[in-house]
Amino acid sequence: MTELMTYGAYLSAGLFCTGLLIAVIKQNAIFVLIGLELILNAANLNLVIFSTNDPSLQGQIAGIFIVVVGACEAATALAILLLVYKQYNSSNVKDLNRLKY
Amino acid sequence: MSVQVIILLVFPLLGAFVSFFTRPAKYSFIGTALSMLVVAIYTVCLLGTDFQERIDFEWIPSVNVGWHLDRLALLLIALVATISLLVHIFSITYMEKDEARHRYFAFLGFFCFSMIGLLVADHLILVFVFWELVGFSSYLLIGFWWQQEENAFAARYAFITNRIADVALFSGILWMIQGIGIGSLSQLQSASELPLVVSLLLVIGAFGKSAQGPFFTWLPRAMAGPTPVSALIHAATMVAAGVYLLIRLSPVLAADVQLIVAIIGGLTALIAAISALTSYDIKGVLAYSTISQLGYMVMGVGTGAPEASFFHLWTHAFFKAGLFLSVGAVIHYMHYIGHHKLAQDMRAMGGIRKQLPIVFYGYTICMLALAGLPFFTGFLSKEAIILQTIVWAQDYQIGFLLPFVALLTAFLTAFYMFRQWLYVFFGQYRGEHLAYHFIEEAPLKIPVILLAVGSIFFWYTWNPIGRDFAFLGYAIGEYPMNGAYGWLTPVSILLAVGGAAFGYYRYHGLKDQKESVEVIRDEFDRSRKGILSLSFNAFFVDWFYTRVLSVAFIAFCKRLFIFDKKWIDGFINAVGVFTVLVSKAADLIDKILVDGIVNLLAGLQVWIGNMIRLFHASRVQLHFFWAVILLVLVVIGFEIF
Repeated sequence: MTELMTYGAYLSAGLFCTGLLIAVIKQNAIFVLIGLELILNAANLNLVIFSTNDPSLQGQIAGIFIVVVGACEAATALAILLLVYKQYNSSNVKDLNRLKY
Repeated sequence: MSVQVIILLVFPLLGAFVSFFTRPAKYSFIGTALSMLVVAIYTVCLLGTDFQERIDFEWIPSVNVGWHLDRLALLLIALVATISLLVHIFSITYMEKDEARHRYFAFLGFFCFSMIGLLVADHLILVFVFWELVGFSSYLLIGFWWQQEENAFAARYAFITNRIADVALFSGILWMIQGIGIGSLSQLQSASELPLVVSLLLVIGAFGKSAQGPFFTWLPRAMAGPTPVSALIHAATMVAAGVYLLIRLSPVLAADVQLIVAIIGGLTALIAAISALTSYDIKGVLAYSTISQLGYMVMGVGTGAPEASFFHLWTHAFFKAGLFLSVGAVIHYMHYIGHHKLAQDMRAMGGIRKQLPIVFYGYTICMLALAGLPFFTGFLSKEAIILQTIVWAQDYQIGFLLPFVALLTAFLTAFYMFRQWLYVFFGQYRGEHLAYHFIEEAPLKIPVILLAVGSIFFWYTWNPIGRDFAFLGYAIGEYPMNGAYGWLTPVSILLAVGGAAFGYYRYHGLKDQKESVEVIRDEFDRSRKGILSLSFNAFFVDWFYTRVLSVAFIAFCKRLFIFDKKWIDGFINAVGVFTVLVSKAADLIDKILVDGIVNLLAGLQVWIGNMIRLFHASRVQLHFFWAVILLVLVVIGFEIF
């Protein structure tokens, strides 16, 4: 276990907790989305950090893929949010308690 | 049920039904009259072939009831049917103005059915059933003109008086069946003497129907019914049912009770004869004379000569029905000339023999028979009974009083019958309306003539003062006609003639118009006060019943009512209030305790539900939160275990 790994793990845990807190506490759907992105990236950071000793760098390649997937996910989520806002005139998650109208 | 019994019972009932539904009402007599004709002819045929039968059938398990047809029953059925037929014929004219004739004839037919049922019934329960039916049809017919209050009252009066006696009769019958094990009349011949109380109860029942002793007051009141009804029911047949029962029971009555029967019969005969002396009601005189003659019959049973009683019953039926029908013709005439108010008051009559000659002769013959003059049937049968009382009197110390009473009654009978005869038929017409000519229609004449012919001696014996009656021998067996006491025949003839002569002497003034006013006024004054007021008010028995007994009873009932209202109602109300209070308390307990527990449980459920609901409220973030918590828990769990 290197120092990098230790601090990296701390950083990713901090990121995860921040993301989780934002996702749970914030009421605006966009912030929730940001929180989710943070959680995703925290997990991604772990992949990158723990693959430093791996000569094949499989973890870091997976990290790049995940960033791509994360971008797609964010785009899709934002599109959904746009439609939801159109529908409900609100982006507050408290108001989004109905799937059907 | 044999064919014979069915025919005898079904025909009158059928006739009654047919009469009730016959329209127009003018022809409603046909049904019952025809049925009576059939029954009369059929019974005579049965008598001719000497038919005798007894049928038993199981009514309820271990209780057999039955019918019987013996000579006594058949003879009486023949009597009922014959007289009923004549009464029906008479009623055609008598009831011609009445709108409800179909009801009248239906009731008559129903009465005949009940009476024949009473005569063919062998078991005492059946006898009692028909006994009550007879009483009921009598009630219907007395109250036939119920539109007038006094007629309805008379019907109720008769009905209630009979019911009081019937309570005794019914308890006697039950006692006899249950306690002694005898239920059938035909078993009585071989039975031993009944206990005192049972005989007394049965005898009281018979007294009620035959208007004897304390029960005699209902019969004069029963005259409220139509006169042919009085002829059939309250003179010839129904009132004889009590005597019939006594005749049937006579072999087994306790000796003491027989003594009572004899005494009551004698007393009633005398009291009724005295009451008839001052009556102005043309039917009232005949009613009292009926009671008096029934007293003779009862006396005959009590002194041990039921055969003589039966003979007197038989002859009496003819001449009494004849008298009533003649009187009915007179009343019909009074109504015909417009005298509705005083149609039955003898003071308003007089000289009617000129208007109703045939009826006059019929009445005269029947009257002579009732007065007990020789050459007529009444003499023969009355003589038989008086003879028996003399024989009976030998066994008792003051027994001679009974024949004395019987002879005195015979004297009085002749007296009051001549009084009525003179009042109604002689002198000048005393009413307000003009008397004018009246055609005696055939239905009025024929029954009277036939009954008058039936009251002449030669039907029973060729010797007008003889004492051997083949009739009696045929009906009930040999009758030991006593040849002794030959002095009785002249004495009784003398008394009857004496009574008649005294009556004639006393009332011959009625023949003259001026004198008749004085005679009537004199008699009226005298009957108001002194010893004669006893006669005028029938010894105040009826007065006692209606003015003292019933008034006292009603007062007693009112007291009971007040007691009821105050104490029993009060108690019940208190119980009610108490119940309401208890219910209110129970209600409170229910509301607070029971409902409280239930509500508490329900509230708990709601609270728990609400708490649980908080975990999965419809909020995305919350779900997410719990999912994370669970994940953490799972991870921690993995770490620990």
